[in-house]
Amino acid sequence: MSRKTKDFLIMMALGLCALLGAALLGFILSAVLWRGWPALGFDFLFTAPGKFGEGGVLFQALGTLLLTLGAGALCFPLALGSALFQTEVLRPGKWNDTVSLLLYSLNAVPTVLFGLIGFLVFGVWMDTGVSWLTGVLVLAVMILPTVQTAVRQSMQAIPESYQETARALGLTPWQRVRAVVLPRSVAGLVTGVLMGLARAAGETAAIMFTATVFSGVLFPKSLSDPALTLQTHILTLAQEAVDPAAQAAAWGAGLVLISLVFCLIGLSLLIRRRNAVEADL
Amino acid sequence: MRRLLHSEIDFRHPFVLITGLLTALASGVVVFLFLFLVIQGQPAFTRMGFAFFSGEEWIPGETYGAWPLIYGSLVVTGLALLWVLPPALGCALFTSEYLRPKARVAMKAAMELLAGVPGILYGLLGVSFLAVWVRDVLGLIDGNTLLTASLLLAVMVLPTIMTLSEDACRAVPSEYRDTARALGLTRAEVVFGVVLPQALPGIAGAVLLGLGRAMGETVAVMLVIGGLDRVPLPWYDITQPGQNIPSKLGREAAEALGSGLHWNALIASGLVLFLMVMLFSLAGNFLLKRKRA
Amino acid sequence: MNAPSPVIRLQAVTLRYGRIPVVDGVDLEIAANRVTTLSGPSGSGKSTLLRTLCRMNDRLPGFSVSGKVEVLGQDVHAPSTDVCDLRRRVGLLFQKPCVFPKSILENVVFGLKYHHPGERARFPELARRALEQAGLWAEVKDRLDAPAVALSQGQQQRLALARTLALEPEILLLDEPTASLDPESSAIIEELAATLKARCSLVWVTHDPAQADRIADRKIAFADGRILPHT
Repeated sequence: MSRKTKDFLIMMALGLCALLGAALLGFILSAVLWRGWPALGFDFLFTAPGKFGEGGVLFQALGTLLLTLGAGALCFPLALGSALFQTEVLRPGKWNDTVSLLLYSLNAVPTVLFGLIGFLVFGVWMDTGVSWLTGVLVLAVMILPTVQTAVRQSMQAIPESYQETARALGLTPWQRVRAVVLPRSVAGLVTGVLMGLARAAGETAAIMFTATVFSGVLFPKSLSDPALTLQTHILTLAQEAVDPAAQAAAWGAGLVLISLVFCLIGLSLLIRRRNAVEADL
Repeated sequence: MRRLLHSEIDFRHPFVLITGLLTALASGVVVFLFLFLVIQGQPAFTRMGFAFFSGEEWIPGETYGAWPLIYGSLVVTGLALLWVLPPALGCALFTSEYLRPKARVAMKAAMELLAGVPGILYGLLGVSFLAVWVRDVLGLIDGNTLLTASLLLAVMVLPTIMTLSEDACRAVPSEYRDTARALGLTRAEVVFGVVLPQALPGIAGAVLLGLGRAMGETVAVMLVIGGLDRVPLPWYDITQPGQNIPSKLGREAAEALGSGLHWNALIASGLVLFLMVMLFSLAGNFLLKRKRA
Repeated sequence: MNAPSPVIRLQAVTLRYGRIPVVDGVDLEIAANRVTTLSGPSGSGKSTLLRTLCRMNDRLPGFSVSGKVEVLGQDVHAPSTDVCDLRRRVGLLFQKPCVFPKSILENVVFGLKYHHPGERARFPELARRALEQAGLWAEVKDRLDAPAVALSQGQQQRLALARTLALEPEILLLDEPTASLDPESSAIIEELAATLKARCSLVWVTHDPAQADRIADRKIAFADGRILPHT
């Protein structure tokens, strides 16, 4: 076999792999659209759920939003504050590395374990039972490494010359943060939070026995009420539903969920692209 | 204090106090989590001893042998890796070395979206399509098997491994490519002779991180693995239903309800899983960040 | 002047990035077994022209060629041209020395491995000859298995030269090969040019007129994408 043929064959093989990757996304999207589209309609999107799996997913969607935004709101100050402390206050070194490692190791915790721990600490010890607030707390901790790492890295990526200039002008650390660090890292901040939100919105295992129920409530009225969410709704239907209508409802809910998650990721991709220095061609 | 903080910092400034407190809180939560896992899981280790790792029976109230779960976790993850490696690497190499910049950006965006598809949707797809296909193609009674779970996991971690491997390939300096090209190497020879060997540590890191993700995935696996706490007979028959640690936790946690040895045993298997994932992630991170000698 | 038949012949060659021409309607013939220098200010298109001779610009976005580029009697842009074979016969040395993070020996035989996979047994001998031609043999003969990155910049550049020479090119293109080296290393490489021209034709891009005076059999000056007259 000549070098040219070999070259061509390898290119085709690699191209085929790439095609497979792209086809996978195509398959997943079209499967969800194909199965979920028939269920979609005004009633499905804007009414309360009925009996098992019937009715709309309005409150499930609201519940997912509530948990996601709540987790984001709780996580954001923690991530921002600790990132600022690590980049601006603490010297690089052992302690700084320890904080990074601790937060990073959260990534290795299987999400279902967050659920178990949240369950025991809040549900049993603090006796709040299954509540949406537990879900928010658990999700906030779960997305902390994603958000914090993104924020910290965007702060560390600020060119040293900006910081030096600000220092040379005699700005205090806090002034420097306001004048240089925050404005320069705002894109990283936003994309980090968006990626965290996307993770939280798609997470099921961490909240399935801490924060959500399948029916019985619509929207939590107090801090100790559980919520309905799209994720756990799909899970219950996927495990138990034999009725085609309920299955269709599961796919419909899936379509709503994937749209929500893709909006968050798409937005973060857009912001990142607009802010990226076009260095590599 | 002085040695810890940047020299120009006044540690009585509210900014320092507030951010410091937030950092302490964030780290504290993590430390608490780990202490919690160890304390809550420890009774299972002391009571069961080594039998916790080697026992094949898991009967709530009597005995807790986690070997089938550990076996399931290892087999499912290992097989997933086997399925995902060739296409993920091919995809990464093609994207980084053959695609034009615009197509490359589009491909990367597609992979990022794919990586964000919620696990529960993969579960739904697994139940409705993959399990049915596996059943029909192999002529099984039940499509929920170790094989099905591994295939589903392979699909789930493909985007992660692909994107990170692609980054590793892009990180190979273009001078190396130009030099090899100037010597008259064909494209494929440049890719396999120069880019791949240089990117190998980064690719290994990507694979390990993907592996960690695969090991911890719960809901999707839970729906298609079969849920049988048993090492298949013979042990290599992957077309039988099985169980892995996250799936076990997801199924039984609600009934174990935070007390008794059953709960301790669940947390203990969670701890085992966490340690395995941590090991892979740290090794992966080390390889990804390693600077070239 | 009774020049031998040219190894490189350019007819009305225009090179563009997008719409902007960087080399504009150049006609040129370069003779065999000479050292020909291309000099001019940066941005005058000399490097772009040099890289076009072995089609290293193919993959730059927006790059296009019009006119005819003939190298070794062959239209390099003809569909029948084997680019890989062309690049073997027309070696190119970059401004910044680039050695692979492998041993010295592996670096020298890097191209041979792909072009002559059947002659593995002869590699040590071929490597030695290439290293001798690049004036590096004496310095590295005892540590051929040492990592190449440990060499000095000047040695790395000569190693890169040996790697190219190992393929026995008929033309050697040098793109400011001494620009990132110290004066001593530069001098060694300049001296090599004189001995190498017996074996192949050299086209040397430099921005330093004094260097062109020292090494050139023929000097060509470039400005704004054109050849200046009387050179």
